[in-house]
Amino acid sequence: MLMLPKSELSAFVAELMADRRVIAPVERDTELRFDVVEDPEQVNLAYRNTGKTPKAVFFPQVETLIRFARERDRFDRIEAVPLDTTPTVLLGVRPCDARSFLFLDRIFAQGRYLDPYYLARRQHTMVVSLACDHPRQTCFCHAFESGPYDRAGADILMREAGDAYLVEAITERGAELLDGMSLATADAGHLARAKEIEENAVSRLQPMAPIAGIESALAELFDSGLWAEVSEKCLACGTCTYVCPACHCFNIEDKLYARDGERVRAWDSCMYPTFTLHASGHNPRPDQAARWRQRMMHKFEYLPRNVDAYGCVGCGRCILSCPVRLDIRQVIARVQAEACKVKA
Amino acid sequence: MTLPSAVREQIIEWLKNGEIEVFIGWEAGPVPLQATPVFVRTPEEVDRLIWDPTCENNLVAFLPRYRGKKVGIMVKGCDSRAIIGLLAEAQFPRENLRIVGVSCPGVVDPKVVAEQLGVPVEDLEDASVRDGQVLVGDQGVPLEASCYALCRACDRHNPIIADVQANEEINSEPVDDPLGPVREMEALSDDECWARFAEEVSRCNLCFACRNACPLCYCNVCFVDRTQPRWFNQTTRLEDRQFYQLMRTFHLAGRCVGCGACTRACPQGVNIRLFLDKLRADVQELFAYEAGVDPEAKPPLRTYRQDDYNGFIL
Repeated sequence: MLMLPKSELSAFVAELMADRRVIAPVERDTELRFDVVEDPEQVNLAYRNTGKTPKAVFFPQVETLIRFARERDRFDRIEAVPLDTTPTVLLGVRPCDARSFLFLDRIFAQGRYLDPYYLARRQHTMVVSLACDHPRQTCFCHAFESGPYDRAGADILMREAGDAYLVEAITERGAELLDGMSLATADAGHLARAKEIEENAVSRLQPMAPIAGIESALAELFDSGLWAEVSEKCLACGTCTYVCPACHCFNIEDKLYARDGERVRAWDSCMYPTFTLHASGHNPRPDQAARWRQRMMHKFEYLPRNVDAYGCVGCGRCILSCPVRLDIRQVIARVQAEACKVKA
Repeated sequence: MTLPSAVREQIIEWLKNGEIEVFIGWEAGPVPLQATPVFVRTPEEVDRLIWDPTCENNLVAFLPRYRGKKVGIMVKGCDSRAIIGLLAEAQFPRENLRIVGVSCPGVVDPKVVAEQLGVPVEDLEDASVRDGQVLVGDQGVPLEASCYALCRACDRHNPIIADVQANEEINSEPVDDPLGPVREMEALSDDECWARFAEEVSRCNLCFACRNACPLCYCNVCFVDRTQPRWFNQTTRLEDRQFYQLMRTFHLAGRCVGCGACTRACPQGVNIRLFLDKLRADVQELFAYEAGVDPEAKPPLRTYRQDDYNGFIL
């Protein structure tokens, strides 16, 4: 186990920046968010979690897939947008978000359809997780057989240890990166302090029933009146889906300008009335109840069936950012309770 | 804080005698300092209802969804103006409404509390409101220093339309000048003003929370949701953000009642009300009309008068 004194964090970041792009929590536009580090001093690891998810590093909110232009009388010149293969270190990601990358891989990087844009960024990015020493009231990662010190999805895991971080390579490429750096071995005092902080972090988590098995509960509830009830206070703003590390629905549109144009992929949201709106004008999800059913079914029933993973990591961002405080944990509990009723 | 027993009994009576099918109010939420809307349909549920300065949402935004139904609702001073806005635009029949009004000293903005205490907002996990103070651990912040900026400039603490008043009226003058930020913007040159607008909307995420939280944004299909043809590009380019905010602002000219629900709902902290306040000031000045005050007054977009301002035509 290696150790990085906090006083040497900037030097560590500077060393990483020598031949890589470093993306880490930095203060931008009055918010702390994951962005490209320009100066090692900008990196702020003393945070609980960012308002927005770092998934945008691999799957940006808006991205141009191809460009086209008019040479003669039609759009006859088509150019692919070069893939982003810049060697990158994504530093200071909380374990819930690191797990979300493993989930997104199942959508964009495995199975029949491989997404070259996502894959290029993902393959060239090293994930350095920062274990979560101070979970929030709204955190529920532990409902997913995970926890604030989960190492899944990390190449390197950093742990709070008072005036230093413990640094541990999780994958081979993580070990290779650390090999080239001059970090000291952790001493017994820091190991003990880290353990204490970890125990305290785990004890902060609010009690919550495990999610496992919810997919069979949901299968019974497609026509339930529950959806109208839970969605009644939803404003349909879609903020929950924008801050979600696992939401991955997107829309592709061709934007036509005077002489050229571009094919753009942008995040979509099941909370919007235009979601799955057909060209005919028909929408199979005509109201907010149907959209909330889709949100829950997609995350907790269709995805476990299709890619063997839940579309939620328990980060709690949707609860914190919701303008009416619609709490997905309460919806989960309602689903579980309702399913018991149906069975009984 | 639960509602006074007389108010609870009144709501129960409305529910029992069929005057209303549902009562829209607030209850304690999962996050401290922020109540959450609740829809009460049975007398037993009435005890869930609360009123305190954490009841931030303007519940009138839900009303257009209940057209054809009989609805009871709780409103603060600013929210009550939205009811008048809907009545003036014939969007909801008064006879189908039962209104409980509360006088509001201003609602708590957790960001402001966090700023006062010099901690991140997520650290307010044990915060509560008691005796005119927001209590966090052993520290307290007075309520008047904890509320939204727009509440500090509020000149409508008391509901102007209600069947039942749930608490005592509040008669205090605004701490900040309601039109202060508007006058500051008016003092800028056109270029500076445009730059200021661009800076403000550059944070907009285009999630449309402002539209959805707005009680007067009740179009069946919003212009940004039109697909045949598509009028709006939902990208993160500045011009798309500007386009959305400009269109929404102007669609609310003479209609915005200034409740501030848009600004409170914005997850990006965009001061949306600033643009709307400018238009409200213009409408007041040019057409002597203030939306959300008098349900009998004709909105300027629904009337024509010989002496209407027409300086922009020639």
